[in-house]
Amino acid sequence: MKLKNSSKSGAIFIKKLNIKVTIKLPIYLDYQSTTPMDPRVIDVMVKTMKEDYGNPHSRTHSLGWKAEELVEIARKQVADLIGADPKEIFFTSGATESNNIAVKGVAHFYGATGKNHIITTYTEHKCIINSARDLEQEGFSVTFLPVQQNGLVDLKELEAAITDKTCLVSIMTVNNEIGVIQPIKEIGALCRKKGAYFHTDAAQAFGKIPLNVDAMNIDLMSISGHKIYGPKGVGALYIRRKPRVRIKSIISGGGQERGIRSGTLATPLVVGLGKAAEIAKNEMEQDFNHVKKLGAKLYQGIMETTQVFLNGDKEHRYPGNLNFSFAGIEGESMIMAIKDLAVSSGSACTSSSLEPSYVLHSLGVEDELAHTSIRFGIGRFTTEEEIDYAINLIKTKVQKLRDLSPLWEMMQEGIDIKSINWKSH
Amino acid sequence: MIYLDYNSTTKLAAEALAKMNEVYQLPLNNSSSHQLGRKATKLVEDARQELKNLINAQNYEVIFTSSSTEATNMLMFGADVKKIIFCEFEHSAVYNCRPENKEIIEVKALKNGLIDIEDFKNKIANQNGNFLASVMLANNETGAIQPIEEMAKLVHQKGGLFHCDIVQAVGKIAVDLEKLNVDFASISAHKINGPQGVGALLMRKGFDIKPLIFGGKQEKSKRAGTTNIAGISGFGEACKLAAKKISLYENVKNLRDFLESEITKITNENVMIFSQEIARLPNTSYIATKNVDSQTQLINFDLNGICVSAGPACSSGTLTASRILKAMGIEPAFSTSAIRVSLGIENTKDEIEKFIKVWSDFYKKIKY
Repeated sequence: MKLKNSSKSGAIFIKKLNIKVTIKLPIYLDYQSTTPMDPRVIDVMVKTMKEDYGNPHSRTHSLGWKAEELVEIARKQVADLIGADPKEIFFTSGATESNNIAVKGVAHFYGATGKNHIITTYTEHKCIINSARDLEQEGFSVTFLPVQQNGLVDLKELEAAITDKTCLVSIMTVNNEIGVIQPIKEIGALCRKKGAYFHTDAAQAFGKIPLNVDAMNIDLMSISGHKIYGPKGVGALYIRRKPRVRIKSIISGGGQERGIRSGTLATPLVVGLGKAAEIAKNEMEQDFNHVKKLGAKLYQGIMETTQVFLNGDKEHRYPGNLNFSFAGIEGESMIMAIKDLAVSSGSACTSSSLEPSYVLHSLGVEDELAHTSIRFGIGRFTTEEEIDYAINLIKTKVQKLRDLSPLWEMMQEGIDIKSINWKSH
Repeated sequence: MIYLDYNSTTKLAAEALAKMNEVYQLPLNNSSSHQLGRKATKLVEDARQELKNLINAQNYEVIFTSSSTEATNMLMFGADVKKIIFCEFEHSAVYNCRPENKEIIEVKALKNGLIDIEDFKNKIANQNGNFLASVMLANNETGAIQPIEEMAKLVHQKGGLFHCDIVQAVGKIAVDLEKLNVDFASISAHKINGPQGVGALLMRKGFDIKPLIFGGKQEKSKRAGTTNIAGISGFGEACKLAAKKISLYENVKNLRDFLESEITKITNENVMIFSQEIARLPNTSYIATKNVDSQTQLINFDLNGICVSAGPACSSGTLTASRILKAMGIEPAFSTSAIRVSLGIENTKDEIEKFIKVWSDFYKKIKY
């Protein structure tokens, strides 16, 4: 199976320069699902796999020491990106595992002391919601906070929800589906004031926007490798030392990662995450400006079409995540029509199912519009030509689909679609 | 440098690395519905099939995890049973995983490294379903191969479930899940020249367990988290290669036997080689030198460019006796003075001769 050679390509004419540029298809616009790996990350990983294959827990020979040394360098690289101490970084298999450890681990530890209430929101990643649901079944009390129409948490509602029984508040930094950034610093301050620990799932934020665990009052933070041009299969959990947050581990065994997470550490993966973090730190401004510029261009281009809506707050957002609802067309046919663009409807974890996004539902987006929502993700390797090509394709296809759509026709005639009593089959 | 610590981890096979490097070039997430997502799905399914082929597991579900430790934890926490029975010599992934809501029953080990089958029979005699027994196929320190088929039969007669940790056995001896007749098995990629960070739980079709990690619907909703496509592809390649390499362990066994016979020629009374008289892995030699603590020996080997270990890597660095040797009832003069030599197919006779020389020079300095 050849992976590299995509035979298909498209062309775009750049008027300004009077040239035609060939573009490799499909254009990858799904950076929230996963990112291409940075070649610099692949290089260090391959080197590690070839040369430093020791078990980092082998304390008895040089190969083990070398692997351990590499792991500790990576730990520092990750810590440096969020203003943490390396001792506060615990490597895991990914943000999902980190989120599971944070939510269940804190709840199980402090639940035993009587603090058996946790708070999260309806728009969290599935792994937080499902962990919380599991705790609920075990007898914990869980508050799922609604979000406002712009996707942001209402701080007053949060404050009212925190009680002296609350051990943990878990609210994500950047939402994976709609890209909104929660007021993390304020949430952290609130939790500290009220005596609850604050965990944030930063899988979509780490390495992309500046984060500082002290300035933002964060007690636990989940981190992913493959969302920042690093490898899949590795992530990290930040756990504050001062004051120390205690957790009950979910995987026991050899006691690696100071008992927080047993299992042989995958040195090459950890090295890859460290390198990706280092690059992200050094190039954050450059990456951000690039994404911001292309995001603005895509936004303007798509908004030239009528009856298109951006989901989530327009200001408080990561510019590399744009989630639009296209009125009068159907999401799956849209995805098919623009299959030269690798995009997602909803988050990747749920995009193979056809149920409308629970995140958009929580924002109060109507089912019809939620069904036609598409997330465009822009990243380090996206080019301006690719955005031009994408805008052109989207505009053309939306028009074409609407021309064929009786729904669109009715909408144009001023018929309220919701008022129609559909005959069921 | 001479690497004799293959039970701790192995070098990634060139073919596996090449495959992983190929996968690294594309942004693949098998949960995405676009064409790259489908490509990712095919890679994962191909690897799943390679693993099934290697250990004759066509009638098992493969749940990929981040390690065999995770696989074991998932089973022990997630199996719907009230009691868990395991042997004292189990890997710490089993031994230290003690779910609070389940009763743990430990079975004794014999001095030769085998499970005390009479004790095992006694411990399950009064059971009536609702229990899980977990015994490893080959021990990571001694290499001792346990009578899994016999135990699985006993457990099934009592209506229990049987899990086998096959981590150390796979790749070194033929492993056939159908023949072993186990309900669950756990495996690690990095012990068979695959990448670190990948493992799997095998579960006989028709069985079900509760997940350990919640979230998306990956791995049939049994293990959430973005799938490690490259790692799993590398694992699949390693499985394909492992099947071809098993015959090479005949030579590994010859080298191991040569090493042991040379050492016993030097001294017979002051060394103890564990599990030598029973069936064990062809690559493993667990040698104790009376009253010379393991650390001292390890430092000497390291200074001479030889990588060996004292028991499992996860607990190395501590000066206490091996838990496994203690369980076998080995006296402290030997249980604190053991080193584990584990060979791979890459080792040469020259390397083994060098090991023997280093060992012999060291031994001559000991004053008994």
